[in-house]
Amino acid sequence: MSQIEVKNLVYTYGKGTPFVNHAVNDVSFKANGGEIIGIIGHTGSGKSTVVQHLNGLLRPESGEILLNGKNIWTEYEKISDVRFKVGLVFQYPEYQLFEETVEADIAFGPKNMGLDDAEIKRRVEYAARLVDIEPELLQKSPFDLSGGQKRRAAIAGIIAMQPEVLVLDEPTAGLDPQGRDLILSRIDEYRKEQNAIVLIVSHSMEDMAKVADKLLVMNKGKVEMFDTVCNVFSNAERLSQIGLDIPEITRVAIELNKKGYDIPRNLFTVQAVFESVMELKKGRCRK
Amino acid sequence: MINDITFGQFIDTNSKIHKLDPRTKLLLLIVFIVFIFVSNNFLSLGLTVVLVVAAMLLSKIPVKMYLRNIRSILPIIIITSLLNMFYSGGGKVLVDWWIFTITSAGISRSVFMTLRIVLLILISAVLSYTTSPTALTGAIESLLKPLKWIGLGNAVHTMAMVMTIALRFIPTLIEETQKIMNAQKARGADMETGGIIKRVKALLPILIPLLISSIRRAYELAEAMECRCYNGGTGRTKYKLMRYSHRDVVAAVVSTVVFAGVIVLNIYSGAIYSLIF
Amino acid sequence: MFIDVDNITFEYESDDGTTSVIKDLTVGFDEGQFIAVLGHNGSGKSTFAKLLNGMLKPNGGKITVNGMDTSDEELFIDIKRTIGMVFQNPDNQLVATVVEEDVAFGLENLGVPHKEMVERVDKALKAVGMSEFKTSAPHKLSGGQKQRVAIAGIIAMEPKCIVFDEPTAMLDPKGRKEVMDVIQRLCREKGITVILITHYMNEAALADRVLVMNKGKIVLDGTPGKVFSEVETLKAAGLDVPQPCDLAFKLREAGIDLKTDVLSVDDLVEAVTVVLQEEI
Repeated sequence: MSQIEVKNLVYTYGKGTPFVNHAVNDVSFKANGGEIIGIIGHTGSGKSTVVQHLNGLLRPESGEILLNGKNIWTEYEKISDVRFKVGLVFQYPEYQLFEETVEADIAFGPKNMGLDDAEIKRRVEYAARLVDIEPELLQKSPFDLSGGQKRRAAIAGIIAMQPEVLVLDEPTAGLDPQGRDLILSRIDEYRKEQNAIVLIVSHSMEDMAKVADKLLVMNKGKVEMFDTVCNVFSNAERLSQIGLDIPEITRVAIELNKKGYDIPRNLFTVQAVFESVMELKKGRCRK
Repeated sequence: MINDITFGQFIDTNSKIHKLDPRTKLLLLIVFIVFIFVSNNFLSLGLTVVLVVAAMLLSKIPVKMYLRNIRSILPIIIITSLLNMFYSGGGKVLVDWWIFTITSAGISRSVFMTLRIVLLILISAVLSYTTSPTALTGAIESLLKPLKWIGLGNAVHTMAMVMTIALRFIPTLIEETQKIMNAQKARGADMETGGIIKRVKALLPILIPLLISSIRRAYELAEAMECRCYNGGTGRTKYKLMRYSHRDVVAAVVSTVVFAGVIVLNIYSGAIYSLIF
Repeated sequence: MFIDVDNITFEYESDDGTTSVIKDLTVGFDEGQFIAVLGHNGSGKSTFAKLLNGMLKPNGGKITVNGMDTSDEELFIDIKRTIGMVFQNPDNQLVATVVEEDVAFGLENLGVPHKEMVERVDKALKAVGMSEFKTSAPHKLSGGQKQRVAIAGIIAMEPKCIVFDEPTAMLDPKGRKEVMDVIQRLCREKGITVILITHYMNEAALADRVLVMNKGKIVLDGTPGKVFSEVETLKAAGLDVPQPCDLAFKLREAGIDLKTDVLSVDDLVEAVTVVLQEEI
């Protein structure tokens, strides 16, 4: 099973200039195959810096990134292999599309991997199917697709490399609810099919409550919490202290709990709160 | 960080030179360049040196920064000085070896030419360190205003607008280039190895998205400008007013006096030399 | 009626034939109101926004703004002065390299005298809380700050109405809040008519009136309370429902009689508490 571990990561921007900025300070966490981890925190909390270390775009100042137990920087010249194993989807990835056809664009990563044509074709088809890009779209120019389709085609470009670790920076930014749900479900599908590790940077607590198993909460370059979604949301006070929202539905549960009703404080789906309220209601009726 | 890159070299130390009207500075730059080329001997050039050094000191910009400018074109300086040294005849022969002949006149000429180049760079640096690109654009637009009398008013406005938008978007596009490069690297793009053709090809995944995004930006910006009633240069008023102050008068008078000095020294240099030696 | 949209249609031609974006749409807006227009991407809401200030002209029907026909080329400037527009991407609407000069851009275009211009720029920057960044370069600002500068550039022109086309879509939660605070203040304190195009339900919940668009038509129109109780229609229009509204809907379905409209967490907690207390 794949495993990625970040150990005591430190990274400073603008070292040796007056603008020294500790982007990341002593960050550690571990993720295993089949897990979806949500990374949340403010702009400037160090999320993006951590993410760019995972595939070797940034080199740690100190600390290590271990992929399946091996430091990714021990063989410096093989860092590009790491990029194929840890696929990183940037924010607004549709802005990196450049080929004449969607097919060629998705094939860019696999080609750089040096795969043979048959394997490239297989991977492109796999990735396109996974992200719900119909076969007839493959021969179109990527620039003729709709916004949501472009986004999915760009994600397919990373998925076609079949990375063990799939990292996405705000994959749903700017999409409408339908586009957002489709992308989150496709990412979840990839996790299931490949037993991959998925890390999603997000501002949306509601989205993360839907898909993530664990949350990594970052604040001022440090790990504030790293725990199951349920446990993180039960720390509502701390989250709001560092200026992060919790899902509205969790707030409903907390408010009702505060009023003395017997409702757990860490519910994060509408269904769960609905069931609790119905339970309470029945209990009251019986009395 | 990449966001800290600002176009141009403007460093705000709020010195006396900074406070000069950008038009004055732009005109004076031209005057200084004329000084440098008109000076035909060490005495008159020396006077120009004094003025350039005075401007540098008044700008309160660390001398280190000026030296950095010279360092960046050091190869050109060295080549010109060598060429001048070997290819100007006259004077006493100092070294005569194989095809190389160095004469006293050659050395003197080489030093003179090198000094000229260094002065040109320094005085341009004074302008770019003390004047923001925006102010320069405004100055150019204002100085070219008379062109409207020959029907080029709109062309001048358009050019200034183009420069402003370019200045506004250069940092944005630098940031964007960095993002696209990282994104393509994450897909295994290799931009560092291979022959020239491979490297040019490797640029396409960066240039194409950059071009497309620039076109999209241009289109959206045009829409936004239209929504803000932009309709070309006619009937526009200006928010930034430029006013000449007593400082500009002082700078102009000092420069004129020095210019007169340069001309006098050019004509009478022979007489002055014979007086001293 | 301040803005009168009378039976408009909008279509465009492409390789795939004629695409109809807006169909037989009729609606009117009063002055001083905060109106939210909801819809998924492709529902026609952004086209609708551009039709309102004459950036696009309807193929059929007519839009009148303060008595002016938006199709009238002669009134181009007057319409833009009456209805300002703020777009999604904060970067692509700032023109100048210094904040104050950018805010002045519209005023320069209108030929406003210098002295008045300086006053209006200061006032506009103050209204969006960006006075301290007057001399900053736009690229050094955060997304939310850039968007506030863009808004200042519009309010300096003193429009009666501002159309916001998904102004928070590209912002982080902090920026989103900053911009929504400004938008609300503009409407409540300065009496500017606000038309907010969005797909964020929480933003629409702040409006006086919510329109929901789907396939180029208005499918819901009413107060947020009324619109958000139509959970099925909203979902069919490809929209989310705020979680409290969703829960209220589920409870009602299950036969629990919530007495009041539910828009927010507080509304819901209040309503549920009432129901639970009834039984004791």
